Amino acid sequence: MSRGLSRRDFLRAGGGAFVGAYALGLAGCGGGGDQGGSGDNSLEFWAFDEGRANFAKAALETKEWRDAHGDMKVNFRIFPYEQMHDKLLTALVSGKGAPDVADVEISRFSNFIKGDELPFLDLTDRIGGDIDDVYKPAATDPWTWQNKIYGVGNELNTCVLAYRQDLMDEVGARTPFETWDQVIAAGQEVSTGDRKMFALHDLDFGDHYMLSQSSGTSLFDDQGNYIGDNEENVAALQFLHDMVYESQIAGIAPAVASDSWYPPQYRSAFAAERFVALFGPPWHLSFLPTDVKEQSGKWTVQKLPSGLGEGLPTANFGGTGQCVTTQSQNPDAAYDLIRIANLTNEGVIADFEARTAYPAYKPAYEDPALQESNKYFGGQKLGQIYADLAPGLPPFNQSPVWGQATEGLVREAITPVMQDKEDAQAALSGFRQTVEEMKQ
Amino acid sequence: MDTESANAAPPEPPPKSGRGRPGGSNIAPYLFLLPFFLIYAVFLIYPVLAAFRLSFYESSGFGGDTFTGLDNYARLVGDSRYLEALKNTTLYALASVFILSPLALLVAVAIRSFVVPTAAFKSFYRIIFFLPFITSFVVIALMFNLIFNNDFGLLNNALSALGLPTFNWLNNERVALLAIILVAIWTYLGINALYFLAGLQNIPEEVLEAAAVDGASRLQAFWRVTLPLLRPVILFVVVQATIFSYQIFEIPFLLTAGGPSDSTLTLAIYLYEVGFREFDRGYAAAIGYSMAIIAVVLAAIQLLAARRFDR
Repeated sequence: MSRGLSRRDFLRAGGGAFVGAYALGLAGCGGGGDQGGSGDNSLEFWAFDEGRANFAKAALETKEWRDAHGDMKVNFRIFPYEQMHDKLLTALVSGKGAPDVADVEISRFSNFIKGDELPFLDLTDRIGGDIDDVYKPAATDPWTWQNKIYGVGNELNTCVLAYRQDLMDEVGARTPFETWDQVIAAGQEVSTGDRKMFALHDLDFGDHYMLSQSSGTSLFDDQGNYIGDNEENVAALQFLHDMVYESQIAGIAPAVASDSWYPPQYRSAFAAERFVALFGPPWHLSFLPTDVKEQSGKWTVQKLPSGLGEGLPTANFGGTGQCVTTQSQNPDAAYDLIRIANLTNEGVIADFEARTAYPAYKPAYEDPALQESNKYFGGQKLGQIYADLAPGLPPFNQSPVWGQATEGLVREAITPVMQDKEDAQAALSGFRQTVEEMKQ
Repeated sequence: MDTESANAAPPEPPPKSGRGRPGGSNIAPYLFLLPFFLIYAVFLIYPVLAAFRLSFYESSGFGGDTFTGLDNYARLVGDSRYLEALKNTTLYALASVFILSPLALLVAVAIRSFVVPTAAFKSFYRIIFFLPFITSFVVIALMFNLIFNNDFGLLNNALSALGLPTFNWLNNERVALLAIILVAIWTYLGINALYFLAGLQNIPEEVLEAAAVDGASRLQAFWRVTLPLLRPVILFVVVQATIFSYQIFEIPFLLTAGGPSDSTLTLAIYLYEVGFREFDRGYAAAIGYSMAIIAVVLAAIQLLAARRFDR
């Protein structure tokens, strides 16, 4: 007698298997447990940039790490930027599979502070007195929420003005510039033919944000309220618009979808002398010595000029912090890795030597490496310039809608004003409604 | 007649499957199929059902989910970004149906006709037109980033040479969607032409010869004979173009990321943004289901229209 499986039996078995699979899926995606990290004697570290991963790897070579965790294995995994943050978010929501430590970029941190539970370890007590040794707006503010610190960043984001000194001398401009009016006057002399003073971004909020901070304001106040349409913010956006369309000393910065800030096209435009000045933090300027080598010795760095709002000499823009996830099985070792990398001279100097990353750790500026003059920037002591400006860094007010708000700002205000010449006041005021909807 | 064989018992019928061992179990084929069904259940049916459940919850950030009924679906109607994405995706779908599909038909007819004389050339053109379809989206994006470059791009150089105005194709909100449509046409022209070629090859030569004998010109034969006989293929191409258009993600995401100012935002990109950038999982699930409903409804309308037309 044949004992073949009937269609009904198969459907029954299949149905059972499906229910089992569904239950399995529920167990896997239900967020039931907090299991992640690498296990007993190892750490998992996720990054989106090889340079930053190397910065953390350098900490493993220090005596302090070897003495404390010499037998600890650290597994580094580097993903593309979007993918890493998406995977991290998914792993943290599901309750499984997150690393012990992750690099979290400033704009992406806001996603992790939505809701009542935060998926990162509160590091406030662990940092303890070390907090006095860092420039907080760059080192911890972006990863701070409701007075608790969830991450530590290494890069000092003191924004400065940089320009081709040789070309300014050629047109007889008096430098360093004291006011933006002087910059515009020099820009009108130096902008000829295809050459413009600045490359301003119409697809990124950075330029506006820096000028807004230098004017003494920001997008959100310390209570998380939107203030992007106040007088100073409107003036900053109008000023950017006018540099392109009125004084015509700026062009629109080349940008691509994957990099709206400084893609290869942007860098090559500087190499071709289509743009001869910029303002930004040290990480932004770092493309000049690597991608525009032939202009070595011709660039000068100075504080931001006055003339807009309060006219603060610097602004605070960008950064990536290292966070310990709540799934970590080895939170002590995970924090030690962060501390040695970010809060010791050995860690930050190694990163400075590898990536020219100016640290947010104050004692490092006593180190000879950071006091050396920089050949590319005409022999200036950049470490000293940044250290002098750092105490004046404006604070960073994090918000659960920060990432969404900056993207919305570009969409609804920056692009329309910088591309379509729309009214800055109307655009920024109109954006208020969008922010309110985001917060609901 | 051989009495011995006539009186013998009739032989046992062969097993139904034909391959099974007599008296043995027929479970083997099902076991071979089971992995597929298990994978299908875990990675497709479960997420589809879970997303359906999620679409009725407010599930944003870390913490618990709250049942909100149809709120997420109601929110779609008043969401200006969703409506913008719907508009852009619909424009893209219209271009797929009314520009891409006729162009593909034209290419197929040209390849099959006397315009391309030899079989070797026909194969050559088939391959040339099909190549973009098997090219990685990342490679396509890199290539068109260069072609559309504002300063040194091939397209602007060509336009300049012809005395025509140039554009910052990917960063200008007025022309960015057009650029995306051009890339999509380039990418999908070949595969659609191939569908039409297959359809054209199935039309018997005798029918066309009979039309010629009856005095029909080439154009008349095309309109009165070829096109009606191609109707099933046309329907297939249009339906799949519509369905896939409402899922478009890679090309606009890699070339413009939905910008500038949402001018190339598609439903799939918006779903991704809501899910991963805004971290609003419930609403993202509702967007996903709205996409599925739109695609199914449009495909059903097209099928019904085709049926009515057939009558």
